[in-house]
Amino acid sequence: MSLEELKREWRREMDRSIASPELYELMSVVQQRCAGTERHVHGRDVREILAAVFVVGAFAAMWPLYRSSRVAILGVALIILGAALIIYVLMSSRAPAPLSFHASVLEFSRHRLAWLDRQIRLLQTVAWWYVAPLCVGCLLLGWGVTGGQGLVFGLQALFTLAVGTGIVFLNQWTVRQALQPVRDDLLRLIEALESRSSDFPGASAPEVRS
Amino acid sequence: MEMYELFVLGWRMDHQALFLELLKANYGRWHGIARAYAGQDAEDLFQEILLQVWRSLTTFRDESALSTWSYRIALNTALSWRRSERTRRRRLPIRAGYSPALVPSPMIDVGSSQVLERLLAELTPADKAILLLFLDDVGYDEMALILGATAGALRVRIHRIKKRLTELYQGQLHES
Repeated sequence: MSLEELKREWRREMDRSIASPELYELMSVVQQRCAGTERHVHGRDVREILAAVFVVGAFAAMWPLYRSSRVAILGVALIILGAALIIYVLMSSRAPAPLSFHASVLEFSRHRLAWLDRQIRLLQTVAWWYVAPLCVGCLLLGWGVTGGQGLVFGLQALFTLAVGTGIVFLNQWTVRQALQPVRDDLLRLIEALESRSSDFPGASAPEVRS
Repeated sequence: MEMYELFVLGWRMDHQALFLELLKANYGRWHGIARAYAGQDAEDLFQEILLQVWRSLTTFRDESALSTWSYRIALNTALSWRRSERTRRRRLPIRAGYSPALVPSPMIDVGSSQVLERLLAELTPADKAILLLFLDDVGYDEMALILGATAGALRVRIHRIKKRLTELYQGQLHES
């Protein structure tokens, strides 16, 4: 058994053809999926902007509730600024040029690693750009409305902190469970492709007929 | 019809013609790559490759050979592909009962088929890509262009894969 024998087998596999009707059906599937993905991306952007508009609208509607307290107004302002910051961070994280699949595998992998590192940084700093502005804003609002006293504020503070901690924990968990293994695989792939023939001890780049 | 609409229509027809030409020429190749990287989920990966090829058509420039360009897209998609329920849900059925026919039986010789399957299963993703290119008779210079590695390093890797293949084959002979 040699690679040449496997090569002959593989060539037979490569030479398989596809009938015309199936070709057109496959193309139609691809076009449908492409349109579906574009709808999904567009829908996500619209949802995020609507969520931000909703936050601003909801707090504007609650104006009579907190207008007498400067602390509460500060809290609301912080929440609105936080919502704007979240939208800005999410959108700018998607702003870099999309991954170019037609680049060489090494280039593509480096590009993907850089993109992945940005995502990891984003999730690792979620406490600052996502949780902190919203939580501090909510606490200030609660403080302003209740005067910082009583069971209601205590419960609200506990709830806010629990949700914030949960969000931070979930993001760290995603980094560890989902992104870090992908990053490790990518690093291994890049390392394998970057190695030169001299990196293999004892190997003198034997001539293999191609 | 407005000039702009005529332009879009012409562009789309060119796009579709090029895609069909590519699909016809690379059908077996892309399926082979999908099976090597995704096994049972080859159909999902195959569709993902088609999707990326379709999206990348606008980036195709005549200066890069079509085979290099399409190989890069197929391998980059395969190497970055992850099995996920979301991908499976996104997959559209082509038509009822169509899927099995789409995946042709892999090898004719059962012995070499098993050796190849085992070899592919134990290779790293990078070595798997190198082996697939080698099996498809892609020259070292083109391989280097596709992968971004040096031709010398690729030769050494093929040499190592050959050694591993011999070990596997001998192991299989002992087993039988």
